[in-house]
Amino acid sequence: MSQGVLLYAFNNEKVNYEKIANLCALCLTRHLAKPVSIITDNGSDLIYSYFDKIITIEKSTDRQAWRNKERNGYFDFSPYEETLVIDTDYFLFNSHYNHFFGSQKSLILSTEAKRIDFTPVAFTERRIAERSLDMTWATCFYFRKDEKSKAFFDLVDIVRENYRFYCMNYGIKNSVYRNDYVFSIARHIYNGNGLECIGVNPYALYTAYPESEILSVSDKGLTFLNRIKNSSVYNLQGLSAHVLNKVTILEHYEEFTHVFK
Amino acid sequence: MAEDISTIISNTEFTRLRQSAIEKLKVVLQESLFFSFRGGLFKADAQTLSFVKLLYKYNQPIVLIDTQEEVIDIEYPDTFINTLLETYYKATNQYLTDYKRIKEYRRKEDFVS
Repeated sequence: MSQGVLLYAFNNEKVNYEKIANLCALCLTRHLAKPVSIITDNGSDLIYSYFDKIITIEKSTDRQAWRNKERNGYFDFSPYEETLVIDTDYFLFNSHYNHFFGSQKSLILSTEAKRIDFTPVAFTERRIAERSLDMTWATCFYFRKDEKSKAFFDLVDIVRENYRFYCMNYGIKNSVYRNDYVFSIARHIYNGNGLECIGVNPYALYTAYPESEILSVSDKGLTFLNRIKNSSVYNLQGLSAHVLNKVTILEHYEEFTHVFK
Repeated sequence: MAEDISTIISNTEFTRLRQSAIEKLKVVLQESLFFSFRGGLFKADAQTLSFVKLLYKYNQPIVLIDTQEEVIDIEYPDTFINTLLETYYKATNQYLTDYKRIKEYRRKEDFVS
């Protein structure tokens, strides 16, 4: 059964996601040793040798900074029978996610995120709304191509297409579109049908929020500096990290490529 | 980054760096205890170790519920126990090595090297 990782990269005026995807692919190749494919609408900044397959889709006219709505079609686009889908800004520094391949679960979703100082994330990041569901993160998930995962992604598409309606029903007041909300709602509806095919990612997503900068890069992990919190330094070597500050990633582009080559 | 890394490190408290390093070790240990077997995801913790040992002792077929609530038939108990012990030893020995190293750190720079 074919296994691999799928990334999405759509550049916008502010962030070159394709360059970030190059770094993500380097980390994945080193630590998971699985083929990495990418879906993009451009491809000019990708380093082709890092990727197994580059799937180019039509360019969108949407000018918003985060083009999350276009991250659909996981099931159809993935060239693998078993796929780990991760955000390009989630850097893997261990091989733990290899345990997911061959799982009896059709889907494994992430439900826990923590800060890089190992404290829980803010309440608004733990739940989609004050009196609503716990957050399911779209940052990193695994699926096996079968009827169950197909049904889940069909449901994801339905929630996405009727996003405003579902936000209203689930009490979401945040006007910004988030794939995390879509996944949370879809998971809730899906589990409501009594199908126990969704597993839970046992690894928390360690998230470096925008106030944290990368201090140094090594093949074992990243070290961060948080200037707001008393200029604290956090060495996350051995742990995977979700880096929300895209500027700091691109500032360390050369360092990343040097470390992984 | 305009500032030198050594300047940033010198402005950070030693105890804060040490606490953070030990906290990280605990997280790395917990993550390293997971292993996969016949499509199941297990954790090589004290509970799994002692429970499997007990079942094995009575020479009964071993059926386990994994961390994902899936029922897994452990067809080859010897292989499973070997994987379980190997995962446990590897994770805890790494923890011990790293913990001893951190205890010997005397300079702030050691924590980010």
